[in-house]
Parts: sequence; C-alpha cells; structure tokens
Amino acid sequence: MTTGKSCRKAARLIGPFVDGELPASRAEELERHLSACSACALRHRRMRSMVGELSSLPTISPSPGEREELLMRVRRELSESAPAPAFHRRAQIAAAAVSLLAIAVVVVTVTMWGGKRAPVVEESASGEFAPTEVNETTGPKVSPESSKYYAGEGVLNAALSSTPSLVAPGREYGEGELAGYRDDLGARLDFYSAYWYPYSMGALDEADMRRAQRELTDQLAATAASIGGDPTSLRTAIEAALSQAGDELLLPCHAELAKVDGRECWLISLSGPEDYLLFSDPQRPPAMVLASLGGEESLKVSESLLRELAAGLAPYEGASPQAPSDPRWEGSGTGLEREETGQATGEEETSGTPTDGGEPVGETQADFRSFLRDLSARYNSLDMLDKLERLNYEQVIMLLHGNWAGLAAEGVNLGDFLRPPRRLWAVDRETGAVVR
Amino acid sequence: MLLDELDGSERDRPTDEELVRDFLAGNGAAFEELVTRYQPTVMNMAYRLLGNRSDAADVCQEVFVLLLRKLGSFRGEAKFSTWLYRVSLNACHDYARKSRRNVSLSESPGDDLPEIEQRLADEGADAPEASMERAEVQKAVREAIARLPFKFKEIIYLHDISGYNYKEVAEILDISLGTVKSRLNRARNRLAVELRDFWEQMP
Repeated sequence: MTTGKSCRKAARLIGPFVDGELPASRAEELERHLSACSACALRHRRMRSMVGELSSLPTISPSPGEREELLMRVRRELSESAPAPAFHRRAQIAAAAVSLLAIAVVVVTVTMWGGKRAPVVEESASGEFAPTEVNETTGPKVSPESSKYYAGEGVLNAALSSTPSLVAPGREYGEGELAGYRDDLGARLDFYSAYWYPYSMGALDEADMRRAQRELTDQLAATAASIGGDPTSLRTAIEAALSQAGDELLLPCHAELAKVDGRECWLISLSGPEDYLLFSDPQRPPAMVLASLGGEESLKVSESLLRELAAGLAPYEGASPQAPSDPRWEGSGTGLEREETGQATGEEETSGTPTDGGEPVGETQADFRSFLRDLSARYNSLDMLDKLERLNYEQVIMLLHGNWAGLAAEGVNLGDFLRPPRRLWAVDRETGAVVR
Repeated sequence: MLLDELDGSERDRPTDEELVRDFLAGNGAAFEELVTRYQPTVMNMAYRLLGNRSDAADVCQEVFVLLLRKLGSFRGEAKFSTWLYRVSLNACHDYARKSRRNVSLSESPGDDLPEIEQRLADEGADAPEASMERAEVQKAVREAIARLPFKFKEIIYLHDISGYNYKEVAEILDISLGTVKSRLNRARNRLAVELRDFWEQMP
C-alpha cells in the first residue's frame, strides 16, 4: 500500500485532511495509508506542524503613532479633495471616469512618445489649413511630422467632455498600411474614459450617446471649417463610416485627411465600447461591458491553433469538440458545451488536489499541460502559446467558448487574445464612397 | 475567520456598507471609522506579505488613500471587506514589485517586531527552552514565507495565517474553489520544501 501512486495521491490529500475538509471515507483511506507509510506519515506530521505554526504567528497592532499618522494622512486627503458631496450616480461615475481618463492620458503619452513630453502643435507648413487652439486635456497633441493635429472645440452635455481629433493634411497610405493605424489611439482611449465607461455604468444612456454622436460629428465638421477645410465632405464621410456599423452605436473620435491608394480620403475612426482593449493597464471594465460585445471581436489566436486546442481537449471533455470555422467568434459554438460539474474545471495548477467533489484531477491536469507544451513545441507562434499556457484548463474552455466576461472575471488580459474590431474607414472625399 | 466579524453587522454599530453610504453622502467621519476598523487588518496583511513593518505602514497608508479615491466606484457587488482585501492585496503586490524589496535570505523578516510583540509571541510557553524553540520555529517559518512567490504568500496568509476558509479565500481572490485548493496545496508544498532543512535539523 506504499506504492508511488498511492503516495502521490496521499500528498494531494494531506492538506485538505489537515484542514478537516476531506470527506470521511477519503480521510479513513488516507489514515490507513499513513499508518503503513512512514514517509507520508512524516510528511503529514510536518504539514500539520507547519499549518499549526502559521496559524499561531503573532499579529501586530498599529502603534498609537501609526494610528495617528494614518488618520492625519486621511484627513489631509479628505480636506484636499473636494468634500464628498451628496454623490448621485452620475457624479460617482464621473469620478471613476476621471481616474480612467488619467490612465488613458498616461498610456497615450507613454505609448506614443516613449514617455517624452508631446511636442506642441506647429503652424501648418502647407498653409492649407490653419491650426486651431488645442485642448490640452484630450488626445495626442501632435500627428506625424508631415501632418497637423487639431482638437475640436465645444463641450458635450456628458459626464465628461471629450473632443475628437483631426489630422489635416494627413499622410499617404499604401496597401496594407492602414491595418497598423495607430493615430487614433489617443482619441479612442480618451473616449472610452469619457463615454463608454460611464455608459456601461449607467451614467449615460443611449439617448445621451446618440446626442454625443451628433455633437461629435458637428465638432469635427466645425473644426474642419475653422481651419479652412471642407466640413460637408467630412460629414458625409462620417455618415458613411457610421452606416457601415448598421445599428451599432459608435462615436466618431478621430479623422484624418489622407491619401489612400492615391485617392484623397477622409479616414474616419469610430470609437466603440470595446476600446478598453487598448488599455495596457490591468484596470478592467465591468463584465457587463464585455458581455455586451457580442461577436465583434477578432481573435489573435489562429483558427488552426484553436482547432488543435479543441481537438486536444476532446479526451478530457468526453466529446468531439469543434473549433470555430470563422475566427470572428460567434459566441459559444464549439460543441464544448457541458454541465458545470466542478470536475477539473475548477483546477488551476498542474499538481492538482481534490476538486469540490473530492475527486483528484491532478493527472488530467498534468496531461493537459503536457498537451499544451507539446503544442508549443510544434507551433511557431510561441508568443501566443506562451499566453495560452498561462491559462488554466477552465480558462482555455472559456476561450474556446468565447466567454470573454468569464475570462475577464478570472483576471485574464483579454488583449492577449483579442484585437478590437475594425473601426477605421477610408471614405473618398469627392464621392463619399467607402474605399476601405 | 468569518468575513462578517469585522464589518459591524453583528454588533450595535453601523455596518461597513452603511459607513460607505454615509461617507459618500459627505460624512468624512464615516471614512475615519472605516480606517480605525480596518487598519489592523491591512497592517497585518501587509506585514506578512512584505515582511517589514515600515513597508507595511507605508502600504497601509497607500491603501486607505486609494480607498478614499476609489470608494465612489464601489458598486456594492461584493462585501466591502472583500473589496478592501482585494485592494490591499493588489497594493501589497504593487509595492513588492516596485520596491523590489522581496526579503532576501540574509534578512530576517519580523526582526523589527517591537519587543512587546515578541513577548506576546512567546506567551503560553511554559519553559525557557520551549520558548526559544518556539521562537526559532516562528523565525524559520517567517523567513520561508518571505521566499515564496507573492501568489503563494497571499493564499497562505489568507487561509493558514488569517484563518479564512476556502470559500472566503475564493471570494477575496476572485478565483474558483478548486483553484483555491490546488494553489494552497502548491503553496504549502513549496513552503514545506523551504522548511526542509530546518525540519532536518530539528530533534
């Protein structure tokens, strides 16, 4: 009864046994093993002793000085911040949004300028447009050297105001270059903080957002007009871009007058609720935002890799799962549906312990990890596999199900697996036709 | 330990959630009450996770300042205490990362305990030899904890040191019950490895 296998099993059960969390039948079985195996009996004694020591470590109490110091600090903070007013919901949301806005500005600065101070807007060399005053609180302050950046004026009746950005004249883009377009990053981060987060929290409703959509269009057009541009073609371009989204509620956040494939176009960037994916900060939006995303996301993980994952999971799932045929995920359609029994899915680590039902699943977990490592060895996308390997069994199932809310709740960085949906449209300035 | 023990829900005093509501309505004293109520908890958590009293006091201040700023976004979906523990654990983690002050093997976490607390630690020992042995064991345990990865430290702190049960730990860390069990098992095994030399020397 002292085989390696039973000792490995005992090693998993000793902890719950010491905690008194093992069902009676398993506890008796373990006790029998302990009485026959001196190595496990020693392990058990040490575990019990160690847990006993941990529970009796002395606690500390704040000294009077530490108490006073903390209270003083808190009072100073209380007096420096605006006195907590009778918060109504919008004010609370606005405060939360301000925090996010601050993060957004930092992220933009660091991302775009490597931490250096953003240069000030310069006069247009071409003289085609004259720059307007730049709102210091919003968006990136410059565009690439060949372009000029303008922030529109005006204030929205929203919890926070935020202005769209305009680059004119912009640069020329060749085939495929727009896929890596990043000049709208600042505006999108800004808009997430100013609009989508408050919207997700209920501080702004759909009517507010529809009004914001109109006002933002007006602002962009007004900014274009104020610098000698063509507001009518810009309006047309925004409408064309919005029409591509059908009924989906999106906000025009950035425009650039550019040349695409040799044609003069307006690039229109639309901000959407998934723009949180641009945050590199672990701050995450509430699950309801994620849940509202629907099937618009694009997966970074390749379809073939997903297929292998799904196939590899089959022995553990007891089914023949199918990977999606379209990387634009459509919710749960993998054939991996099953009852939540707590078997295996609750486990994170490879060494395994009994599940909620008391059944050890460590070997299955180990097999699963071994399968992932094998996949890692065969695939070239080691970076993606590295990210996949950080997921536990349950999280991989969530990934295959497209359960983004569940993954976010587990603390998984969704940006590892998703990229925001397409929100950039090139519209011919003359004809108003969508070019790309 | 029960998460309800501190929150005032079973005593004749305002609950945490009532204090939060009062604070958001403009009553600064309500926040001070929360500070008084939870300073020992946060201090202890930070002390065990960072291994240094002065760092623990710093983090404690950071936590409550952070709390002051974030309380407006507290949505009441979790208990206040659970939320506070999460904020505190994150703050400790950030602090450890930023300061890179993971205690090295040569340091001895706990050496800065005031004398009175060292004595309290030995309370109940019935002989000087036993008292010394006990202090030695505790020192070894503290040093071993200091060498653990943060993820293991926090789960050992919550379950084995603070006495929260599996379900409460799952709530605080926002992970499944199965994950609590497996992570705790791994953390303890790792701690046992760290203590192996010490056990070998024990009579």
